[in-house]
Amino acid sequence: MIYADNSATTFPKPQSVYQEVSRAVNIYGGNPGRSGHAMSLRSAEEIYRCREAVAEFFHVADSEKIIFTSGCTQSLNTVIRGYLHYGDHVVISDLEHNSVARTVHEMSKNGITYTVAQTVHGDFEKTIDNFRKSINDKTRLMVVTHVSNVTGTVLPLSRIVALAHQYRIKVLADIAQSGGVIPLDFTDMNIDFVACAGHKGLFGVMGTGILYLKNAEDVSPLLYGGTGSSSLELTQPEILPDKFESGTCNVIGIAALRKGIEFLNIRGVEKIHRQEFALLEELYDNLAKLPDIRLYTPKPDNRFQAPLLSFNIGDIPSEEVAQVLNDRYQIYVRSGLHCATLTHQKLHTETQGTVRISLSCFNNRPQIQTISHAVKNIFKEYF
Amino acid sequence: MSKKYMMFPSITYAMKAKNILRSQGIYADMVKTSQFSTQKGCGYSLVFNRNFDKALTILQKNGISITDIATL
Repeated sequence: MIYADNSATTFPKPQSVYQEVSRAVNIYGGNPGRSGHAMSLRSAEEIYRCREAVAEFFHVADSEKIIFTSGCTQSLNTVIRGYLHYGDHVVISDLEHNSVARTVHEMSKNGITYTVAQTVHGDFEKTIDNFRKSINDKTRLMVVTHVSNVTGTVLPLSRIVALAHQYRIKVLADIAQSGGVIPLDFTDMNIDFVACAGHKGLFGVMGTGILYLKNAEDVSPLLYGGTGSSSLELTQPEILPDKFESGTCNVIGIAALRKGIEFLNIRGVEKIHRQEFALLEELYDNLAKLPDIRLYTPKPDNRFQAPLLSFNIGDIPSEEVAQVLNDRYQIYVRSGLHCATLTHQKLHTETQGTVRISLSCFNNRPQIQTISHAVKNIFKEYF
Repeated sequence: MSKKYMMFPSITYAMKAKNILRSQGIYADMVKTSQFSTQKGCGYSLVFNRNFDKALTILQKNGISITDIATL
């Protein structure tokens, strides 16, 4: 089996992550931050250790600004729904996942307006210019994916933050595809809000996510409830992370996430990125040789692309290609629309979708050769 | 012998305080407390047999918010 669907969730995980899941379910049986017995405190200590590890990984000084969520979607919804009010305007990119696009669209029924800024792969100047043109006097927020989950296109996040701040607009970055894949320094980027999955590039397990808030005063929680603090008060605590962490957290998942981050720290994100990118280049070159192959990005350049790509073989439905790869070659890829309507409108692939290959550090050259041969064979069979 | 308690707004801050103090060679146990007069319900404290004043100075220098202090 070859797993090449790492943009959906990484697989395999490092051995240490599997071991920690097994260990944690036995060790961290107490509810963290609720009781005073040793098992509850032990769970709380582990949550704290992971919060510190995440903060250090992304260069955040105050770890309480790191919030644990159920996933990137919850993190994105928390800021979009908690920061925008009636009459506000938000700019999003044309590469946003439905977790952003659907959320702002839903809010447009209740007095929020939004503009979709056109991005240009490999041309940061034009992309920035299009973001600038999308601003109006009601704009309070820009929501920007760092890396497209369909094409791997990298957007100029730091420059978008700088642009937005000129207009006193805040930026929410969706780093679902770049967290743990591309080195990121939240403090240096001066970013306002960041949403990240725990189970993708950070190698945690599904059901974990991260939200970073530089300043949380203007953001209302998505969920209200028990936090284990100020329990006599009926109002939600303002202190972080309690304000945004109502209910029992995923201790097992968070403990595993710490091991994922530990793995990245040992291997080094830059080193992993170089390895993954070399595989992407080889894959791209192999696919580009085939006639009638449709690639949706130019030859990979690591300034503009993350280690994933989309393609189609002629007009064959992407689902059909993915099914053949699964059935005959045990190659697991994603097909269809990848929950990214706006991107497929941009690519004019709403009907066909695309076949997406997304890599991790557990992929290797022989696998790339196998994938390339498989695609070539499918091509020969159909044409 | 009475013990001194330092109360924090949440378990995260209690953890943070505990770790800062440990890095300075001061060890304190963390306990769940809810009986202090100014407290708004459940909370966590660090309990000290000694080094309380030194710990207080260190935490104040590090900007750690302390909600209450008690001797019990």
